[in-house]
Amino acid sequence: MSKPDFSRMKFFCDEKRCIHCDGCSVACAEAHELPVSISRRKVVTINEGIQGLEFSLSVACMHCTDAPCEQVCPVDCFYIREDGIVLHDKNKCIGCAYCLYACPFGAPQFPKDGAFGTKGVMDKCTMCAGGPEETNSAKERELYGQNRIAEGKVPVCAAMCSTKALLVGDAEEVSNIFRQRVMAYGNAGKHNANHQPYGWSKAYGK
Amino acid sequence: MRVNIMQTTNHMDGQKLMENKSQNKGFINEYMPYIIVAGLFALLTYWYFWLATIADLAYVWQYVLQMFTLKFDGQIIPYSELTRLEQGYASIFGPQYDAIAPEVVRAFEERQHLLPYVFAVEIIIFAVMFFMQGGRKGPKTRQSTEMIEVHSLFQRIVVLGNILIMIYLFITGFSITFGNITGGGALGFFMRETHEIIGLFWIPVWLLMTVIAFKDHKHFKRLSSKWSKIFLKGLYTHTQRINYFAYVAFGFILCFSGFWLWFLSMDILPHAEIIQYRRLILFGHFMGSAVITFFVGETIYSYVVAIRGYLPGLITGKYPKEYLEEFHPEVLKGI
Repeated sequence: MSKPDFSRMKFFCDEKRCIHCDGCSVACAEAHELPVSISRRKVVTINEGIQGLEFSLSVACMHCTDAPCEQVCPVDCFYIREDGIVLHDKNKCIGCAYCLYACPFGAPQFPKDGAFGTKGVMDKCTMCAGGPEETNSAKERELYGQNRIAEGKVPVCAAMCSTKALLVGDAEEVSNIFRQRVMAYGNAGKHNANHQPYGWSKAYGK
Repeated sequence: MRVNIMQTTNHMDGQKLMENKSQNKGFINEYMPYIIVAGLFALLTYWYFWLATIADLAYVWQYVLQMFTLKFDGQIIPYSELTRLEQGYASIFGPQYDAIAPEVVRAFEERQHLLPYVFAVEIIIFAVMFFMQGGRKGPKTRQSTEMIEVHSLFQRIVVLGNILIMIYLFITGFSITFGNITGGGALGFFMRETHEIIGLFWIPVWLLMTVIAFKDHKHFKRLSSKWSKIFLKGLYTHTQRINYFAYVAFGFILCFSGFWLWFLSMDILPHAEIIQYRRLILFGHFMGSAVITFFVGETIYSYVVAIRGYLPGLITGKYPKEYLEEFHPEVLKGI
């Protein structure tokens, strides 16, 4: 098995394992000291109450390979790191929300703290990689939260996931783990014939 | 005898035909500006929607029709008919990302680069018109013995307020569109934020300007003399009327879409239920802002560039009689 080069860092949530404990979203909000109106990570349950069809997913920025938010931003506040993590500069962002319209996953978040209910600057999942400020500086922490990647740790949401539904790492590694899981399920899973990973084609590139 | 009757009938038909023809000619002459503008708009619409758009137009059309049933989430295919994967996508991320979102992405990627060319073409059109009419027309005399009140105090406040607000909205709107030049930051953020707030204040002003735009309509003419004191009488030329109609129509698109873009930012509905509507109205906002600039440009051109305008009249509301006789006889005719 070749050593991953971590050139394409990705999230993936396995809906077969997610139990909607909200551990990831609570851990994220606590670690980064997010205001109440910001949910960098959300857990959503689909077909709630319908037996056999109900499932949950943890949703946040998917750090797309061909990120549409980066393409539409009029002030070019987005940048993609060498390892594929999509970050943005809050000091450049003007809060126009075009990234929200372009995002396939509804990841960009806007605080509603402006006059007459206008939006503040955009906030989103950084994969715990901070921002363009000096690494682990007080300013970086204040604007973007913890920089766990710089400390060699995995993002707090994935670290906290008790069922290991939330995977993070190099795209190749994530897909290998997911493939092994699907193989292990065999024909036992009820929806295997329909099983495809969520967000894969868009976030992981076509 | 029968032949004579036939001949007489034919002769009468011929006369009627001639009268109809002259009436038709009169109609075409009278409404020529409207016909030309409608034709150009039909061409522009064809180019824009059938040649230049990459959105899924069949989906957009179905979505617009669906909105008349007060369903705004954009889920055209019934949820129960989707596969499990599609249901998941629609429930979390909204329906059919590939229908409208690529258009929004493309619009922004190209807008910053192509829009200056559009404005350049508009300026060239005005410059050609300017040289074809033989330069700027000035009043024969600036001396006047009689000043005529054309705008009431209320009208002046509304018109001046509209001018100031529109200038601010244009500047701040362009600061968003051409954010690659401003580079964003605190000033860019302030301009975007105030664009939303001032835009909200523009809605009542746009509504009052709409009344002014239709003040020479027969329904407004019938109203009481009190009405006439608030909105003084006066007719418009065809060109002015086209500009006003475009202002009303595209101003409506901008006010409507702008209001929703602001209101929906308060997260009143789950993301999946509202994102497609947001994308659609943002697209409408782009289109409205691009088209209204031409008609605003035309208004500025016809009032102060093609002729030497009487700007003090905008403050005092009064214009020299000779100036009106020379450049705006329709106003005198209406009064």
